[in-house]
Amino acid sequence: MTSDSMPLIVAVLSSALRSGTGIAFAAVGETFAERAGVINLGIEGMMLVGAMAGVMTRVNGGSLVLAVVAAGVAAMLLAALHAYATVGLGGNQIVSGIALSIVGTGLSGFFGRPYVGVQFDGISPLNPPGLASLPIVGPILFQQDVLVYVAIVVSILAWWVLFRTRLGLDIRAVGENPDAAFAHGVAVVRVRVTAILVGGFLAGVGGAYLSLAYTHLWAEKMTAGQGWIAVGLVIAARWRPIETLIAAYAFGALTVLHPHLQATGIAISPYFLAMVPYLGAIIALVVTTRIFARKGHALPAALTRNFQFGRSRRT
Amino acid sequence: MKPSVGRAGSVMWKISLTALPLAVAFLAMSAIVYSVGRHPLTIFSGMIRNGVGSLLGLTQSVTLMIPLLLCALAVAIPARVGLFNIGGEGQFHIGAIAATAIALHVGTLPRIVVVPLMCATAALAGGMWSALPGWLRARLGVSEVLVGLMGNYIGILLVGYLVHGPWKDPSALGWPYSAAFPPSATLPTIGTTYIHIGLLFAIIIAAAALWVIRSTTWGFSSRLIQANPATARYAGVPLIQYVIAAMLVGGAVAGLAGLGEVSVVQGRLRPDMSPGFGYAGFLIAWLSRNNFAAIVPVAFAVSALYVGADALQLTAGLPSSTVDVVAGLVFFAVFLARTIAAPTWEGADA
Repeated sequence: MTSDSMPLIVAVLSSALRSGTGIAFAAVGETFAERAGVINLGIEGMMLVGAMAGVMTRVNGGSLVLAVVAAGVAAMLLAALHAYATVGLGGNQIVSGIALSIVGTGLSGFFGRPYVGVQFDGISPLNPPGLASLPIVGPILFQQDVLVYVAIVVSILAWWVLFRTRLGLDIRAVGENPDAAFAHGVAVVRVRVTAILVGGFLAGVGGAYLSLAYTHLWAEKMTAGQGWIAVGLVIAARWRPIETLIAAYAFGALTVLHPHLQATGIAISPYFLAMVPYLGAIIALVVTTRIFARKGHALPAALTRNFQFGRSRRT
Repeated sequence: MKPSVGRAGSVMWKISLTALPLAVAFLAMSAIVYSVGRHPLTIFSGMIRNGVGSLLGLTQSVTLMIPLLLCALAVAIPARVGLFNIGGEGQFHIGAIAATAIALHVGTLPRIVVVPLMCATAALAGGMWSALPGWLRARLGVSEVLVGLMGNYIGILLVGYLVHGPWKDPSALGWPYSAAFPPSATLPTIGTTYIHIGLLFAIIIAAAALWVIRSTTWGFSSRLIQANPATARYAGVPLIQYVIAAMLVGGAVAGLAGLGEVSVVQGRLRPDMSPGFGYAGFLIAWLSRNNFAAIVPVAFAVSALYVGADALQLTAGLPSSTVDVVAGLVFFAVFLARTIAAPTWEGADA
C-alpha cells in the first residue's frame, strides 16, 4: 500500500508512531529520573550523544544492536556525571543538567563531524509478509521498525516497574520524601542513581532511534529540541509512562498532521501545532499543583531536592 | 545559597575554587583536541588571540557580552528572591518580536521616538512573558523553572511563525527573515562596531541592582525572602508582589537583550538569533553567584571564551561545536568544584 492511497488517519497514525518514538524513549527515561526526585535537563545533550555514538558505532562496522547499546551507554555516561554531581555531591540539579546539555551538544558535534552525511545501513521497517499489507493496521502497526515496538514495550515495562514493583515504590517514595524513604530503609542514593542512569540510557536510545532508524543520518544538533519536548511531555503526561508514550505519539501526529491539514484546507501554522506540547505541559503544571492534583498525578514533591542523610532540607 | 564555613572566606580559597576547575577543563579540552590530532597549545593560544588578543577579537567579545550579560542579569535579579528564571531564552525572543513589531510598523518615525519606544516595548513584552510564570509561582505554587522552560520554546516557535509567515520579507530570497530594520530603528552604536547602547543599559542595570540590594528596603526584604520565605512572610513582606516584580524585571532585561540582537547585530528578526543566550545567561549568573558586581567581568570572560572558541572554526578548522565543548566543560568543572566545596543539598525549589 502506498502512502497516496492511504486514508489520512492511517497515514497520520503510521507516521505518528515513527516520529514520536525517539521522544518516547527519552521521555519515559526522564519519567524515571523525575519520579525519583531528580530532574535531568541534560536530556537534549544526552539524546545527541546517543544519536552520534550510534552512527559512529554503525559506520565503524558495529552491528545495529551494538550501535543502539553503544548509544545508550554513551548517554548513560553523561547521565552518570549528572548522578555524581547531584546525588553524589548534592549539586544543583538544574545547573548540572543545563551544563551537561551544553557538554553533550558540543561533544556530539565535535566527534560527530566525520560522520556528517556518511551513508550507512540503518534500522528499517520489518514489514512482515502478509501482516504489513493488511489494510489500516498494516501501515500503522506492521510497517514499523523494531525500535517502535521496543518503545512500546519499554513504556509498559516502565509502568509496571514504577507502579507494580518494590523498586518502583522505592523510586516514587524517594521522589516524594527522601527522608521518610530513608527512614524506612530505602537506599535513597542507589535508587536515585539507578533512575538517572536508566533515564540516560533511554535518552541515548531515543537519540539512536532518530539517527539510525528515523533519518538514517547524523547531523549536528539533529534532535532540534526533542529532548526539551521530552521534558515537557513528561510533565504533560503527569509522570506516568503509558500516558507519556501516548503524548509522544500525539506530538508525532501533530508534526506530521500539518501537510495533511493544509491539503484539507485547514490553514494552521505548523509553528502553532508545535507549541501544543509546551502549552500542554504548562496546563498540566497548573492542574497538578497540590490544589488540584489527584493522587498519583502530582509533581513528585521532592523533585530537584537533593538528599543527604540528616541534611536534606526543604527550602 | 547558604553561607558556608571555614576556609570559604579566604581569597586564596575563592581563587583556587575557580582556577582548579579551569585547569581541569583545560586538561579535558587538551585531551579532546589532541584526540583529533591537534596540538592543544596552538589551539589555546589561538583562542586567546582571537578572543581578547586583537582589537577585532576584543570588539567581538564586548559585542557578544551584551546579550550574555543582560540574560545573566535576567537570571540574577529573580534569583535574589530565590527564583530560578530559566525562561531567559523565551523572554529574549519575545523582546526581539516586540522590537521588530515597532520597527516594522512605526519604524519610519524619527529615531528619537522609535528607539525609546522599541526599548520600552521589548522590556515590557519580555517582562510580561516572565511575569506569567512569576504569577503562577506566587499564586499557585507552580514551578517557575518548568513553566519558564516551556515558555522558551513557545517564544522560539512564535519567532519561527512570524518570520515564515506574516513578517516574512518577500525580498529575502526565500530566507525566513523579517525585513531589515530601518536606520531609525537601530540602537546607537560605538562607531561602526556592533557595540550598542545595550551595554550601557546592562551596566546601569547591574549597578542599580547592586544599589537596590545593598541599600534599600526592597533589597533588605529580598534578602529576607531568599534566606527564609516563611520568616519574610511573618515579617510582613508582601511575598507575592516581590516574586512577580522580580520575575517581571528579569524578563524585561532579557527582552532588552533580544532587542539589541535584532536591532543591531542581526538587523532583522531571524529564527536562529540565539545560540542559547538564555541558558548561557543562567550559567553566567550562577558562576557569578548572582553577584551584580561579579556578573559583569564573568559575562565578559565567558563572551571572550565563546568568541575565541568560535574563531577556531576558521583558524584551526575545528567544528563549530567546539564552542559548546569549551563552554560546557568550563561550566561543569566550575560547578563540580563549587559543589564539592560547598554542597547545596536542599537544591532548588521546583
